[in-house]
Amino acid sequence: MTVMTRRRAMTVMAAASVVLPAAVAGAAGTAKTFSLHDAPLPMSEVTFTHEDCRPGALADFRGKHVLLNIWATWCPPCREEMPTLDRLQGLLGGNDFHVLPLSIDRAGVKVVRDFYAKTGIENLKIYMDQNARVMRVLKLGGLPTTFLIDPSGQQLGRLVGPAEWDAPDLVTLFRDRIASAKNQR
Amino acid sequence: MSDSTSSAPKDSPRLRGVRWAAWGLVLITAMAVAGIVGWSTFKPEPPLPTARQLGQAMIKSQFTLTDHHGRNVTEQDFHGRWQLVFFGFTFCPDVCPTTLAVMAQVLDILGEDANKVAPMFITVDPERDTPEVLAEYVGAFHPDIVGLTGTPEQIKQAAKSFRVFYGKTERADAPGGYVMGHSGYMYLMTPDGSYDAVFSENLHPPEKIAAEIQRRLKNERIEK
Repeated sequence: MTVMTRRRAMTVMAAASVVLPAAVAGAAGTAKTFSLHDAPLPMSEVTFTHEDCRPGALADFRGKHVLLNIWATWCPPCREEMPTLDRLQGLLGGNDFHVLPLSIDRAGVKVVRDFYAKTGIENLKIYMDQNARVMRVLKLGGLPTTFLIDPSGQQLGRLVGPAEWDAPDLVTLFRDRIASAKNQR
Repeated sequence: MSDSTSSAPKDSPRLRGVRWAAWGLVLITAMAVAGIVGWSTFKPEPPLPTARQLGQAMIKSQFTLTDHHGRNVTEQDFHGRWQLVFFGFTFCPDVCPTTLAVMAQVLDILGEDANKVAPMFITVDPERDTPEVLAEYVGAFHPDIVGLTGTPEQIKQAAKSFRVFYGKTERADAPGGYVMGHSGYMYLMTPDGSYDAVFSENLHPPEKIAAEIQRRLKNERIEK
């Protein structure tokens, strides 16, 4: 009797736990904006391969700010924000700042190359993590997820979901970070 | 009120007996209630993969759907293999679940054993997810994953058999005007289509899911 009631309660709880993330997933607004953490957070080591299959790592970019964007060609919001990341790299990319779009496409570099060509991506390079190892390393729950990394490799901010990365307020935020890092040197 | 009690013979041994019995009953009941509450509060829950308390008796793999090649299939077509089932949709407006990527990793880790598992992706958005759309989508993850769609009624029946909840939310800013809410769990079903376990992408890394499946395959081999 009590076991029955208990089981019924468990079922109700299970149902609720199923509905809850669904509601969150369904109701999440598109107008989320990127904001910085109160204090920098440590960042796990992320590795990948370059377009020419050379191994690479996030650590290779120490000394500049990195906007690390985890994405895939099968993810519509990722595809949508990619041109804004491309324009941001065109604006700020260089010795102080780098946009690093890391694709977890299993199908490999070809689908990414095709997408870049079709979408007219000009400034971004291709970085691949075909085994999607980064998802576990960074404990990602969904795509796209974007991290701002400071020159020492610490995490300054994180956004789950798409953004307009070349919007004036974000460009200003990145410029401020670059300037203040330079002043500290 | 006090009149009626005071008028009763106070020291009647019979009444005293009844009173003792009544108090005894209260005490036993209280202890039983405390015991049940304590048991259900402090009994440690087993870890999720081995938990069998999600109303599993009611979960059953039962469906008539169309696969991503356009063929009509039922659960019978997968009989004899363990089923790894995920309900979702291809069109995610904000954040795309990476569950199918996890499923693909599980199949990779399983290696040869993967042929004893039927990985399935059942759409809850049949309006948009035609067999052609599904073919391209599941192909991006793993060649073995079967994409399944159907009429809204068929999807409803399939979701009902797995006790999966989903719903359409009208949203003007979403392309197409709506988004689908759904549960983000992977169901492991036995080779005869009964419920075995549920995995959540957040709690169970692919290695763990693969290990859980391998453990079951091993037990199966021992039993044979």
